Amino acid sequence: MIYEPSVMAVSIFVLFVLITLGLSLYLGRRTRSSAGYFAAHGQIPWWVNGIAFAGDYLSAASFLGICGMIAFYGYDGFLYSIGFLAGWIVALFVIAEPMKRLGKYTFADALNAKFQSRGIQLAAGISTLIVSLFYLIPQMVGAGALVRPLLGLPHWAGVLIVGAVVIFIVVTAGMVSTTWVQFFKGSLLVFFTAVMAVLILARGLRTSTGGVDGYQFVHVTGPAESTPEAILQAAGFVNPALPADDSPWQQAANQYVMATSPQGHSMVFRVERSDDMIELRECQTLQHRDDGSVWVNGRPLGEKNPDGSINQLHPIGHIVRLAQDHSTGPLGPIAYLREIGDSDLLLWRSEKIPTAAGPTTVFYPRLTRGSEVLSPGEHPKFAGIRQPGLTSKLNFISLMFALFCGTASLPHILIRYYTVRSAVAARKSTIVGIAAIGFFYILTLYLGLGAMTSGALDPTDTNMAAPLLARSLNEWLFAIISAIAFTTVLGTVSGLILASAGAVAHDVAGYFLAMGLGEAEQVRLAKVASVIVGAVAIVLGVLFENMNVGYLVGWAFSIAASANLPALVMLLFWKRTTYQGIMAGVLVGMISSLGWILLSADTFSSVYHAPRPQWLEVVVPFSQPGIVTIPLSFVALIVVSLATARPQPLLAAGR
Amino acid sequence: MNATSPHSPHARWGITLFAIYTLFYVAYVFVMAFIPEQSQREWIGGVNLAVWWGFALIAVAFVLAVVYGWTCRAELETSAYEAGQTPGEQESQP
Repeated sequence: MIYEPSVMAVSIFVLFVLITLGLSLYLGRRTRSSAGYFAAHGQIPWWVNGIAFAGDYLSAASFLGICGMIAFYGYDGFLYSIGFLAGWIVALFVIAEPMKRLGKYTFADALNAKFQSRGIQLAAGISTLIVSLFYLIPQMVGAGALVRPLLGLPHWAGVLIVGAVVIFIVVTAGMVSTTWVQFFKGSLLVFFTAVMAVLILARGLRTSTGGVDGYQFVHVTGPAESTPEAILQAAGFVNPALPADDSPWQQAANQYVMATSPQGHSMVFRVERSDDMIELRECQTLQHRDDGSVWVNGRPLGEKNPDGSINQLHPIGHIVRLAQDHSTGPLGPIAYLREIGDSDLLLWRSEKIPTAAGPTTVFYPRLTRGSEVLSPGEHPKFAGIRQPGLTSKLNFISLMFALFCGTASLPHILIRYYTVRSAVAARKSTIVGIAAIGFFYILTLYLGLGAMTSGALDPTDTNMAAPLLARSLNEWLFAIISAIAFTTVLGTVSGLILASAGAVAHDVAGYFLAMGLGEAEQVRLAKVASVIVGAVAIVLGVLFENMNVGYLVGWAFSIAASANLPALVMLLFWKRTTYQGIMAGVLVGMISSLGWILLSADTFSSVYHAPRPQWLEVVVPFSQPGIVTIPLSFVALIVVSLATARPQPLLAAGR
Repeated sequence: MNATSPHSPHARWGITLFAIYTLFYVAYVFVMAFIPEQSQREWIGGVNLAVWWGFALIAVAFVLAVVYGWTCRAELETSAYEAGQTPGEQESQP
């Protein structure tokens, strides 16, 4: 889709960014020491820290990714909301207070408090860097997705803007300003998400045949004994024809039929056959031609239509049937879900066809029952839930396991425990965080379903569902929500870069390499590291443009849970843990989860765009690693700890 | 014993609450994975089990967090009283 920036949206966006930068500069003047730069001197009030937890945690994955996944696939996106929130139980009941008691600036400090081992500090520092980088990718992708409708800029420009602003924030001020930016954006995000949910319920649901641009998609039916060509001919379409036998369209997963509209436009229809009828639903096509031009629905992108509009993909997402009427009027939160469950919706899917002129993506509508939308298994990656056999369900189980274990292992979340005064304050701030985050995640279901039925979705980008939903409600709201979403990315990216900088300056340079850095030098090195990590994040954000950010964050959770959680848990609860065991647990968890992801079918199809070797089907049979690599890390830690345990003193042995 | 030691009474209480929630979560994952047809069953207010269970997992997390906070608060007040401090004094220890 082509996006026109509005002056109001750009003004509000610029205002938010300037407030964020002003806050950062103001608070940065007093930060000179390591304690101030990495941990805000431990002076953040617990309730501010609690909301900052929400600001830190509710990243682009939560706001853009989950809303987008629910908008396109229904309940499967909500699985992430549930898993992301459930992980806080591990953080509160198991990790929060010991983390605060044991550590100083970084996650590695806590892990190394008992042993004072350079090896642990290095392993945990590397793990922090890798987890933070994997978490940074979706944030940057989200930033790119935001600036397209907001400023009319390309994806890479959004990534670059976020990278530059965040590097500025982190370099100028460190944890004090990062905390207040996260507090600011966490408060606004939860409040305006609630406003959006209220507006969605007030708008209610209604049936339609197209999206917010007023275009009505064609849907024709005929008897089962007829042919698609005859049905289209009878409906007034010219020269309807099935693809030729040697056409790449014949190899497609769906059956298509082509025709020319009475107005002379080329059209593609998807053929759906049932026992008593044939249904033909209009599709949309996006073709990247070999000469570099982009064609939409058989004509060049951007070409003027007779009505003065420009040729582009039409927005999608609508209900075709409600239980009782064509419109419900305002609905309560329960009635809204019940109406969706009783409705029929058009969910759009896509497939790529290698046509002679260039690769063509066909976006086709699929009639889906509301009851299916509100239960798991609609997303292709979770389709195994609705299939028999254990293997097909392992991807889902593995993801839910990793989400549960991942939150309490994320370095940028763990370092927030050092910004408060005491273990009691750490616990209180976690409870405040759970309240704010839980409330937000309940709202995500309404936002996602609101977007699904808004008629405003961009079929090419799941990540833009929330901002486009806001635009369908109100232009002001769109401007504010986009600006908040942008500060959402800023807040989370700041925390991630700060965690990475701490790993480099404090864990690796300060501790492992024993460089003997003074306070000011350590802070200076951390700032240099921030610039480098920020630059790497910008590059990765551009490379991963088309992946759903929620899905990408799932990977970061898997690596964090595999590398960090077993070490933390065993350190706290198993007295025979040795420093070699901790190192083994971190390294085995990190390498195995990273390797699993890099060799998974999802990575081959979405990142490498290459066929996967057959033998990998056996080694890595599903994409989410957690269910294998988290236990593997526990086993490595236990085995190595037992093997390296020092012999008990004779006196003790004689007891 | 340090109040935040993994073996302190409120840490044990935390582990108990953690175990309760984990069971609730594992049961959810099991039902969604192995009896998915149950997830579509209509429940209270005509909304299905999957949605209600999802909401409940979020709400119960908050309720258990508050219960934990409340329990620990009582414990801290007791230990502060025994030590001749006010609870506020104890909390302000860095």
